[in-house]
Amino acid sequence: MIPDNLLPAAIVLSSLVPGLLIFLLGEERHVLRTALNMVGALSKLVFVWLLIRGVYDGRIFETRLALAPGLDLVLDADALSVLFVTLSTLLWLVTTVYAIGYLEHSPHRSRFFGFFSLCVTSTIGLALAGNLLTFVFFYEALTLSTYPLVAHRGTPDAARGARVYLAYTLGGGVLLLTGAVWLQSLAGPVVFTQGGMLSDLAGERDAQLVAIFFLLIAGLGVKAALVPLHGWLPQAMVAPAPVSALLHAVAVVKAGAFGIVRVVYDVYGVVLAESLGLLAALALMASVTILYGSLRALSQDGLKKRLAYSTVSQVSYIALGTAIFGPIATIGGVVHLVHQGVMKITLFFCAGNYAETLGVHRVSEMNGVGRRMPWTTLAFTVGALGMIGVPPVAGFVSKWYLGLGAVEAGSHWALLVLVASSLLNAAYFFPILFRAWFKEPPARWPEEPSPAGRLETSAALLWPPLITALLALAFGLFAAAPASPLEWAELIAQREYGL
Amino acid sequence: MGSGAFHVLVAVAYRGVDTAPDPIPHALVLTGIVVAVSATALALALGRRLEERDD
Amino acid sequence: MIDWLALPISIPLLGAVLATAFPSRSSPIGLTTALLAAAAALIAGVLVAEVGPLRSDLGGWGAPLGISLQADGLSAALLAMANLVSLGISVYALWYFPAGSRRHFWPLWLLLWTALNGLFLAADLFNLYVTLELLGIAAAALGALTGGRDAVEANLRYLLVGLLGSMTYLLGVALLYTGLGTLDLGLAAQSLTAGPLAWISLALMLGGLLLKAALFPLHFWLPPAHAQAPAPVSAALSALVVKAAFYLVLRLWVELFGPVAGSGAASLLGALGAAGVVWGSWRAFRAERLKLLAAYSTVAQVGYLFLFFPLMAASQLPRQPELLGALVLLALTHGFAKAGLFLSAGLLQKTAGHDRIAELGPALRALPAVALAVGLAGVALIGLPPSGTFVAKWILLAESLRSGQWWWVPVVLLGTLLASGYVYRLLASAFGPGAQPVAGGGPAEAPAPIGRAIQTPALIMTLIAVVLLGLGAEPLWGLMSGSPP
Repeated sequence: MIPDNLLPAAIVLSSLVPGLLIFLLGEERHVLRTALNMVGALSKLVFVWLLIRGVYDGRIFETRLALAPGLDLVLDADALSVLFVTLSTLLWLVTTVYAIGYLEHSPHRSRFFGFFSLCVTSTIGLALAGNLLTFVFFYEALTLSTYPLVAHRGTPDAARGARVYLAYTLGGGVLLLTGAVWLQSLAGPVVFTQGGMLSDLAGERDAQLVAIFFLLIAGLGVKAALVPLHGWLPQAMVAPAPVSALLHAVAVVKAGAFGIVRVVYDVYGVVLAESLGLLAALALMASVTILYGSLRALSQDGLKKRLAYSTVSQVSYIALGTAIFGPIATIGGVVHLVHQGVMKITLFFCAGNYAETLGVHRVSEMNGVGRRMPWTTLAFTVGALGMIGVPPVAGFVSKWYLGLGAVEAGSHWALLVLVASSLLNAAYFFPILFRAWFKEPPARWPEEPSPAGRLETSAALLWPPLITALLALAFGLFAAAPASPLEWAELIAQREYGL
Repeated sequence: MGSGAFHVLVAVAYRGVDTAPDPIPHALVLTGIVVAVSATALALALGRRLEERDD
Repeated sequence: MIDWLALPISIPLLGAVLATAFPSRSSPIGLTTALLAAAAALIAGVLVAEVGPLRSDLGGWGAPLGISLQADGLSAALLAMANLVSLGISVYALWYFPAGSRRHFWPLWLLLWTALNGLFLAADLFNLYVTLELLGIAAAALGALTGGRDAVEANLRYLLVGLLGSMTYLLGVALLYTGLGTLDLGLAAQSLTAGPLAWISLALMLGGLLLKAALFPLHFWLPPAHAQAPAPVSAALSALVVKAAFYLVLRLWVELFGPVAGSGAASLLGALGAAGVVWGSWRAFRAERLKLLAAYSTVAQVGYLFLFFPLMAASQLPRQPELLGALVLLALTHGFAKAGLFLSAGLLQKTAGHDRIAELGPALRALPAVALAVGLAGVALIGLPPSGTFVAKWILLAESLRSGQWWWVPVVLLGTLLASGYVYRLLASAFGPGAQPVAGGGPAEAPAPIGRAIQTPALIMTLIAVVLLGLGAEPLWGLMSGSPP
């Protein structure tokens, strides 16, 4: 059907082309714009399905474009990229529906959906990147395509939040670029290889390799919100809810985390990283971030801000899983890529719903929300429970594997970090749930544009969080089923450790 | 500056007592003079324009 | 048998004459000439790509007696860029100038174009001088076209500085001739040996050319001249004229002086380039007016180009074509991007009535295609993917590290960060509040409505810089390998 060397390119193009076309549309062409979005999202889903089947069977897909002699842009697919690509594609589809509902009556929608598509294109591109150059290429493109989304509303707050975002991410980009070029000058084109491309390289270059690692992690850590590079994330909450949802579950933050996984496993290799002491350093950074994020979340009254700090904390579980030596921890970290994405996006969708339907932005305003919007709050509950790690929601599975892996590797302190973090999660989520379900609602909501109809809010706003909450539940309940995220994570760990 | 360069060029053209001087440097000089004159003309015109603006 | 090398020179020259003779029809003459000249140049370029370096002896007289033209990969690439950009500028200029100035613009512009093409195609040192002079005079005259006091002053300075540079260059040529007895580039290269003659003439010739190429600290004349000139002229000045001088430096270095100059000279050029990068980027960051920002950005970009010299000097032979290709890619990308930026600046200035960066928000929002062009130009100036600059910068950084000259890396990174800063300042207000202004409901000055057609050249040029040269530049290296090592 589609030749093997074009399928990765097709997946990237399936959001690029509609995106570019959408830019050209006039504001009033809703139907055409929605059609383009949907066609793009659905065709991408089809292509990804083909990809999954092919990778499972062991086929090789590679698209290669020479930028200069010795500098090739490479898109290929291994188990890890398939995991991330599938997550991105599914969540893009859902978020597009949500955004259409959320932004109804907003200005500049063509611009918004154009950049939205570019953002997804960049994410898919870096997911499929086969070498470090391609990864950096799309990583920077991601910065460029997300800035207009953060600045979308055009208010002074939005401008400021966007400026902070840009300063952090461009700075991070420079660090990443330096590390990447340095590595290439030492070792030639840095191709992502199972087991780590550099694994046979150790020797007198150790000091440089360590320095490069920190440069790369710093550059990636900005997007992945590793403390102290996380400052942009709470500020970026000024963006409309679909943007926060996409950024925090799929695109920007995950791209950084995904990059860290790639660098540790497919560039350095676990063995080399361990021997150079890099894993220990990463574990430390991840742990600090996990605890700091959770602590800051406690004191936030703004709902989106609280979720933002929760993200800071949760994404570092992935880094922690990567930093603990051993396949089980790896499984935990990698599968959390998917699980956190699905759970967090649910939470952000719900936050958006509360804001749009009731004008509720703060936790203190959420009393009795469960009565007025039961389905949304149900989805929120599922997401929150997953964050805490309560079975059978997916978050429990990730934490279980992480904890087990920590014990197995002898990192008992990591186990402590996990436990402490779960307790903190409970501390900042349970009060919300309690308020929502068991407190009396106020006489009037801050801002209720339209009173409750048959559905508690518009369909486009209601279905996405329900779907993602269901996914979060399913990934947990059916974790042992074939082709579940857990299965894929196990496959990835097997291939990485050569089991 | 320009005159200095032209002088050097003319001097370079010398090829010996009895033979005619080398024509190439002369060509250079002539071209150079033309160019310098045109440029000076333009510069004067611009300078004049400046003077007018100053009033 | 059509002499494809002579046409790109003779067509604009003829056009200039005709435009002077028939001033009332200068615009149609100008546009037709532009199309024909660009076509001829592109055909010549394609021929070089297919066949290899070309050489043509005018009037049948070969070197060392006659005037020869030659085109190899390097000149073909720059020729193509220069002519495409000039075509875009010509289309834009049709609309930009009011009727009165047009009769003055076209002859001068076509003369500049003649000089440009002549420079890229010249094969001997003296012809280079002639074309260089013509270029400088035409450029200065064009720059002062608006007649405003600041413009005249800035371009008078430009003219005098240029003249100084040319005279220095000429002196160097004279010295070289004394020693080598020939003015033909190829023949001179064969006979040149290291020694006082070579070094002094190198210093003189390069010194003059560096003044024209605006390498720090000889750049002082550029920002005012480029900022004051009318937008299409600024585009030509920054994107093309400065490049032409740089091309000469490169050509003389690679063919004539490089082997005898030694690494000290190369490092000096690199160090000056580094200073230019930092200084130019910093001043651009602090600039309050868009055209001044763009002009300082040119100073910085020229600096980047000179960073390649110490790398080329230090590298082994196999790496040279790769570096040369990256250098040319950088020059090409900047040409398109800077031209696009200046043309956009012109449109913004016409809409807003000024070019103060802090207040350009409404104009940017009213012209989304222009804002896009500015954004793309910014991407190319910073060096973000998918621009050609990203690829060139990667190679530059990699080679610095590989050859142990790691000190260039912080310079490039600093330049990148500063560029990010000034591009951000430029575009931040584009996302301001409020819906698109309704047509006709503009400010009291009611600026002329800007049609879609006129926004096209800027957009196309920046798209070339960012997409075509970023993703499709690989054949460039193949083209360059036909050029002399």
